[in-house]
Amino acid sequence: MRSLSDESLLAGLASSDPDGSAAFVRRFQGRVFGLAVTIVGDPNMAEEVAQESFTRAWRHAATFDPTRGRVLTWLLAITRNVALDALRMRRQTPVDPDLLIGLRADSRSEPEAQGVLTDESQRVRLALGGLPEEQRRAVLMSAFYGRTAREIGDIEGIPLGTAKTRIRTGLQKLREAFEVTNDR
Amino acid sequence: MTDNRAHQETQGIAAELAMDVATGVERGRALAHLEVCRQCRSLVSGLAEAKDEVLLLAPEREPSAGFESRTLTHLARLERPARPPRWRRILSLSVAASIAAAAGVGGAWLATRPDRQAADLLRTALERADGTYLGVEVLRRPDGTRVGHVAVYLGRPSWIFAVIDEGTAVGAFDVEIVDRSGDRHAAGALSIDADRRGSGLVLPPGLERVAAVVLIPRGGGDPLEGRLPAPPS
Repeated sequence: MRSLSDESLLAGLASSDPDGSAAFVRRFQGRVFGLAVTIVGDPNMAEEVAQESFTRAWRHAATFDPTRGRVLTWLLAITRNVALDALRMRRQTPVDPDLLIGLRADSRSEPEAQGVLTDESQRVRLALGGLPEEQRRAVLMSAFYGRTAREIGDIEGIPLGTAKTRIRTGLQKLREAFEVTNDR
Repeated sequence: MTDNRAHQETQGIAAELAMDVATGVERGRALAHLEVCRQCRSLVSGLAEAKDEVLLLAPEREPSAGFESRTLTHLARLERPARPPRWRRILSLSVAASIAAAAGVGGAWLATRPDRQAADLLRTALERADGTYLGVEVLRRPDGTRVGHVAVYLGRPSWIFAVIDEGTAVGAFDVEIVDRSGDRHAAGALSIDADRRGSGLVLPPGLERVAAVVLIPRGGGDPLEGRLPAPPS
């Protein structure tokens, strides 16, 4: 199973193959739970989010298009949506965006509870670190916490148009940065 | 609203569409415009890809013990959703990879299953994908030496996935399809590396009457052929 591609394991999950499903959950549970707990904060709630994310992956495996992206990013996009729904329903307060990329230490949790940064995490962190702070915050608030431009404008005390520009410019710069690193 | 205004408005909220945080009438108008504007679709799609990559920032963290078994138990209790319309997309790459990897490099999935289970899995996959044929054939040199496997799916689209055994040279291969009349058709190229030892491609439309798949090493050497069973007469 270890040698099978992510797409193969997704097919195993979709066909309810017990071995394939177990391998799929095992391979991705750390990434799914890691994102869920990053967004919702509470580990118990994050486990519910993670389980629901795998359920949606099972239900919607047919919508996965391998020509448009990787299984991991598809699954994390599902996890984000589930986590944002949970945040909205329970009115949880998201954490400071800068804590996400470790620009400031989180004094509330033990280091081991903060998870392991993968190579991919480091790559994204590096790219985000290259953005002006205001763009980085806008992108993180929107990507991780589903904040609209209007909400970001209110939080940051800036006009709506400025908030829109920050999200868009930040995303465009990241896109260029990711294209460069992916080409290497 | 004119096309030009809709275009300007969509460009203005492209990032929010990509983030899936656009709301209200503005979102509805933009989504309608995306249906007809390739430029805006491309912009939103590119920004959405960047957003997806940003999510990789989250550190990996293991859930509590027992999460895997709880999740699998939960999934086992759920009812299978209605027949998905886009199965062929996932099948076109991933089942091919599963079958081929199991038959060849992985060696531990289908290969170790009882024949009946493997047959059921193949049949289910075929039914869901609306295809006409799905099978794994042995790849051989002209002298009959076995050198790997090729999974073949005939449907819309048709595809192949080849796996080369350890000990056989890998690299770039031109792929030819031999039809049942004996005519040969160029179907593209495969690049197989020594690490994964497998690769696949989608066949050009119109190649439904496949009798054999032939891999021709670009660096020279014997062609490798996987021959499909003759159709029932």
